[in-house]
Amino acid sequence: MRKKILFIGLCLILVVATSVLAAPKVTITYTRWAGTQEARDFQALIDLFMEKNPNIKVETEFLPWDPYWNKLMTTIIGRTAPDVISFSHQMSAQYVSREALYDMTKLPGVSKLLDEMQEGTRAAVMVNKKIYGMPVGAGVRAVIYNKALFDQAGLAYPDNEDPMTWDEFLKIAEKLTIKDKNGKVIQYAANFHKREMWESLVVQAGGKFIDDYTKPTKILINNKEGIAGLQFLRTMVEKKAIPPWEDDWEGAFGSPDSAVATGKVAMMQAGPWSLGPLKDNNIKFGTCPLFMNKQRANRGYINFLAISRNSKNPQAAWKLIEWMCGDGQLDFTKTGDLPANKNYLAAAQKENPYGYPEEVMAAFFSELPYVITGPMVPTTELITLTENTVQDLTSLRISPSEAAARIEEMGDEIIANIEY
Amino acid sequence: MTDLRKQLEFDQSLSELGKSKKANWGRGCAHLFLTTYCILIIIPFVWLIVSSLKNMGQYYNTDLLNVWFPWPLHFENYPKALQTVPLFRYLWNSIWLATVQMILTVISSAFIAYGLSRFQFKGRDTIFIILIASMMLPVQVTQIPLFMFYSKIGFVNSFKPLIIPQFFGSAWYVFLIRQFMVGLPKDLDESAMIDGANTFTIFTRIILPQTKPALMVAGLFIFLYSWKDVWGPLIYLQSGKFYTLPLGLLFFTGPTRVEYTVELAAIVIALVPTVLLYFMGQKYLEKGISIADLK
Amino acid sequence: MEITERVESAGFPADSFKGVFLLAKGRSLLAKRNLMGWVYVSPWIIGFLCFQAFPIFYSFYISLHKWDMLRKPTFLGLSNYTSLVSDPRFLISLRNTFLFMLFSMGLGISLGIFIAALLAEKMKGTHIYRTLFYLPNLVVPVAFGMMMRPIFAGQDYGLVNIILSRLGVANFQWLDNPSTGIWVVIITNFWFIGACMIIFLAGIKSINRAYYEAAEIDGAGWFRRFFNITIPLLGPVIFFQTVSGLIYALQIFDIPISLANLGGSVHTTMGRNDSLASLIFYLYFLGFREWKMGHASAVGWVVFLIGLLFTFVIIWVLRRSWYSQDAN
Repeated sequence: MRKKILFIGLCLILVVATSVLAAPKVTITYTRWAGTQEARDFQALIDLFMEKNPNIKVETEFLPWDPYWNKLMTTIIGRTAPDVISFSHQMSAQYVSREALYDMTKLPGVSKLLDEMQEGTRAAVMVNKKIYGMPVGAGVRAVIYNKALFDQAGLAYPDNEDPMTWDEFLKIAEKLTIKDKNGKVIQYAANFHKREMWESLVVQAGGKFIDDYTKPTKILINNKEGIAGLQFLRTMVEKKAIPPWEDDWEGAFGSPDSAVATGKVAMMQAGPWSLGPLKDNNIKFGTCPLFMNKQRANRGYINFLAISRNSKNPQAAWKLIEWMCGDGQLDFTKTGDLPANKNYLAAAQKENPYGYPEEVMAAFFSELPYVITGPMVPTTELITLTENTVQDLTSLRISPSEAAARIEEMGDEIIANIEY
Repeated sequence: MTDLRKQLEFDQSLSELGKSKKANWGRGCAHLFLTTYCILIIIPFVWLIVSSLKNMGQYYNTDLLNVWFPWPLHFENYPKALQTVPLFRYLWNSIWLATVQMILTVISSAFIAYGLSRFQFKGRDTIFIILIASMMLPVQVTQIPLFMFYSKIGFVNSFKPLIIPQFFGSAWYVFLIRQFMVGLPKDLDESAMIDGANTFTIFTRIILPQTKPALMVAGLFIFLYSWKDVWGPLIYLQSGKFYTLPLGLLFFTGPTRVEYTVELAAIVIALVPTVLLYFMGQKYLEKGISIADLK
Repeated sequence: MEITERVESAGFPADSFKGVFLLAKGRSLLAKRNLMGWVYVSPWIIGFLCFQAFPIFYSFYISLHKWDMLRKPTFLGLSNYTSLVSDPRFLISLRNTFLFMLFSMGLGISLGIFIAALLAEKMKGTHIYRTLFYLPNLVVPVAFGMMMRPIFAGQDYGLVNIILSRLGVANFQWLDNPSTGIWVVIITNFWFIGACMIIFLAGIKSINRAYYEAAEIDGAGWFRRFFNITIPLLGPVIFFQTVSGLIYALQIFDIPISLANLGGSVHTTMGRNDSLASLIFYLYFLGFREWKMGHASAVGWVVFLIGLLFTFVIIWVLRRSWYSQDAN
């Protein structure tokens, strides 16, 4: 009898001991925008994290771009947002400026990790000296060109790390835009993202659009350099180097992300995400940096991770973020972005996890230091203004000086009325 | 004798009516009008099917011949569409959600419509007016407070917000069914009442069978509305395994991997069960209507 | 009153002792029975109080504030409403929506009844026609935008432009131009005529055949029968379609936003140059793109009030068709 009681007692102690000593399992949720292939890539990344951290379980949710932001808005408002949220700087200002995310400043290791990030990536995540996110990757655009069309025009391939000048571009564009006997264009030299490129051109000419990206006070575009940048954009349309505004998206010449895939456009400025369809369509392509003028600049995207205000496990969430932005950066790059963390840049370029040859990826890495993000303010009115004005400019309805003046006049008013 | 002759004359005149030139000419016009309208309706569908068999190069080609008659045809878009997203699971989710919503809403709405049409009580018309007024307020206005309410009571990430409200009827369908019920003659009700039937029996035995056409139409609409609904599932169904078909179709869009042609294939695939269901539902609708005729 | 008749026909004059007794019994039974009506209506009342009353009042409360849904609302009084009067985007949305209402309701309902009446006849092929007419209502909103593109695209491959170019008119940017955007919405709305048609079809099928047979004997032609029998007896259904057509048109949103999504992924305007603005599109835009939920709620309430106004007008004009005309 005594033996029985002892045995049962021992069992009980064992059970209690194991349940107390066993590491508590925490579950967190992670979300990002992704098409189906990207979803698989990111899931693999998360699985890797879970292997290294057996006491944290991560549930993932992937949605395509548009629904992702719609849903994110609803869940942040309803306070049911996932623990770890992925942001792109274009869509994040509205949340960061309203301090709708978890304040990470006090978490262990946050400031140190932020210092490891590239210079241009930090502005997106800080407000009032508080840290609301951690940069994880950079989406960079470079020029992707169709080798066969260059061959047909008798042109040499551009250098994959040294950019050409504006004039050089216009010269080769003349040979790459082909018209039929009626004067209608059947092949364009390039299809660029006019909605975003205009600012890069302004900076390349030595000017500036706005004085500060997160807390702007003045529009600076209305001067010689700014006008020169806008003029170049208009020149490209006038010389038919690029399609007019109406045809630049969903027209016969594809979109700025898919133009070369149509076979009717020689160059586009896109990221590694656009290379897949080219492979599928058997198009031999090369990459090179965007042209330059007085300096280089190109519009890119900073992606970062944040924790939701309603998260019940911010520490576990931070663990995932810390890894992805730190030790896990090389694994992260397998998903297509360039690493945000300075310490891993060289390694990423060398190891090249992207699936494309090194000489192809060289252009993207070459462009990385010159990435500009554009304003990150909580209102969409500024973008609407610039889009409408650039549309008028490239539809040849207004001149560059008129465009610059309009942006300055109305932009200053918008900036003055921003509520943070 | 005269009755028989009258009968004969009457029959003759009827058949003459049918054979008259005027009637045939009118029939021809009707067909012409209907066919023209239908052709206009079909054109986008032709484009849909034809384009789902293109590859992206052909999709961007805007020569007229190529837009409507591409060659070669790329049938592989279809298996690609099925591989990209678990279409069948989403299909299943859509079907059962739509069925549940349909059954619940039709029953509850008919129930309520009965109360609004066959009874005279103080406040009935007021309630009817409030019902109609409640349809006036745009749903987008109440969305956010409703969402916050649901998240406070923990209904989010489940089918509950999509199902529980259906127990309480839906204003539009109550309105529709009520209008039909109001047109029904009262004699059968009354004789049943005299025979001592209670209100529920009258509801099930007499009123419901007569409103079959309205119920069928309501059921059809609810099913299809649920089928097409994206917003509800998007915000209330968090996990991928719950996704419905329109949600799944969104997976082909985005700034990366823009494969419109595969998306079109997925849309066609999603359309097939809907059309089949509609076709079958139509036959059922016919049957239901003819039973009502028999009375 | 039926009770009196029944009592009398059973042989009990209304003023006799038994008669009065039976009358009273009948009346109280009827009253009790009528109370049952409340039971049947109760589910809707409960549902309304739980799921609609609170959001409705809350949304009005919010419309008096400035609220970005993340931080505390600030009280504004009625300025959200008064600012609408001079708001150009609101005025465009208003104009577009009214235009849409005018054409979609008037033409839409008439066409719907007409087509339904045609298809109610025993003709060859009604089955096929009916399916085809309803087919567009089965497509997902995402698909709708894509399917309309080859027709209304601004470049030369748009069908409309092709037809126009044969007639010598230049390419036109249908979707991008603020004065024509809404016409695309109006025209494409007729693609969906099937929904309206099916309801009328069900209504027509519910009409007793006897009326038509009697009219045929009297020698009435198709149009006579259509105008003298079909339309009057469809009274309640017409009333229904008018009211729901009004609501649908006033709140039109799916079509403009699907068409607007055709260009670019981030939409910062309601279609290029706000060409596709509608009242509810503007509401959505204010609330979910500019985080101005207070302003959006105000627009919503304006829509609500406009709807109420129109509905009361319709109720008064069509008051005779609340209840159908039986017999006669």
